[in-house]
Amino acid sequence: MNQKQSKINTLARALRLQVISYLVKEDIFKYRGENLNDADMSMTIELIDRIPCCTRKLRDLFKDAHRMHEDKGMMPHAVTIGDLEWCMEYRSIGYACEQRIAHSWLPYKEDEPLRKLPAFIELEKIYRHEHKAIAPINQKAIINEAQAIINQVAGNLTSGV
Amino acid sequence: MMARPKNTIANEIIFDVRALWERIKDMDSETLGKYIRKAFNDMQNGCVAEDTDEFIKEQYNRSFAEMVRKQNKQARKYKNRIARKQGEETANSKKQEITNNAIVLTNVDERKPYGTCQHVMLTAEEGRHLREVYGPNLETAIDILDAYIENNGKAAKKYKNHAAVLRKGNWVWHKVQDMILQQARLDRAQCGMKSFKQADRDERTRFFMDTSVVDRMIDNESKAI
Repeated sequence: MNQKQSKINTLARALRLQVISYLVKEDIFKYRGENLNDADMSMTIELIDRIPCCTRKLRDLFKDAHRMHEDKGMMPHAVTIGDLEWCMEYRSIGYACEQRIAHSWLPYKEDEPLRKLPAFIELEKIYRHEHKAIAPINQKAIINEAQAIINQVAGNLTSGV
Repeated sequence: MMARPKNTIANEIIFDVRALWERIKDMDSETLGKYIRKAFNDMQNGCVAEDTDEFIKEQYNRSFAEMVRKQNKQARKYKNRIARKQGEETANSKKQEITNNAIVLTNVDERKPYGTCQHVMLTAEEGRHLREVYGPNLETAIDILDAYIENNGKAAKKYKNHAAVLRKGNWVWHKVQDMILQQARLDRAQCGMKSFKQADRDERTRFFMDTSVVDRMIDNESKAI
């Protein structure tokens, strides 16, 4: 893997985490939720990161969670990770926001605040000088997948199938 | 129109017109003119000239007596009035001496005038409460209400209780708060500081854009790999 690819991978990952951090803080601020300390914040970001939603649609996921509160007749409040997971699983947003579309790791053009995040600015600098955009690769997912295949093959070999 | 002078002989001169007619009916116009001019001069000088007409002198003396009588009457009236006032004052002071303790107690509820034009009426208790509400800005609040009452005659009748107008949440309170805010803004502008809105916006942006947690997470991940 060349240096550029690894840089893009790191920046895309950083961008995703920064977007999650921004959205969580904005939600807390908007709905007067409880302020989180650094440990809680990193835990929240990690848990939201595990939700299989692309970076681009994360804001929509948050919006949908609030719509869900409204539909259920609940008082408006800051979303929880459980709400997001539930929306991803049972509501129509789940079909739309899986990471299948190209460039879905970048926020929408209209979403200006997210496009001011430091990771996005760095990515922008790289992409401006590229004729063909290089998509980031989720290295961790690839390693896990490879590990799973190796385990399966090793298991088959040992069992003599 | 000039005001008529009071207590002068000019006010009291009333000629016996029939007697005057008897005197002047046979005169020709020239003699009559001379007679009138002489009479006028004599009246002005107090009829002290030797050749003054007896009729004119008599009229003058009668008028003079009338004027003196009126002046004496007025002087008596004035004296009585002064005496009555002094009597009332002494009576009041006696009352105050008798009920001295009671007065000390009632003075607490007594309303005193405040403000530049002395229109705002407040008791000591109300003043104490308002001092707690306004702090050092109480004088400003009183001056605002005072100026309003001065310029709006009906306001004096409209407001039964001035302390109630000055209470928190009323228009005077809002006006004072606006003035304080305006002053704070001016002070900040003079110091070259940011406006409240801008400072708040910057603070919010800093809070949202803070990526220290995320950076730490990325570092941890890279180390793990």
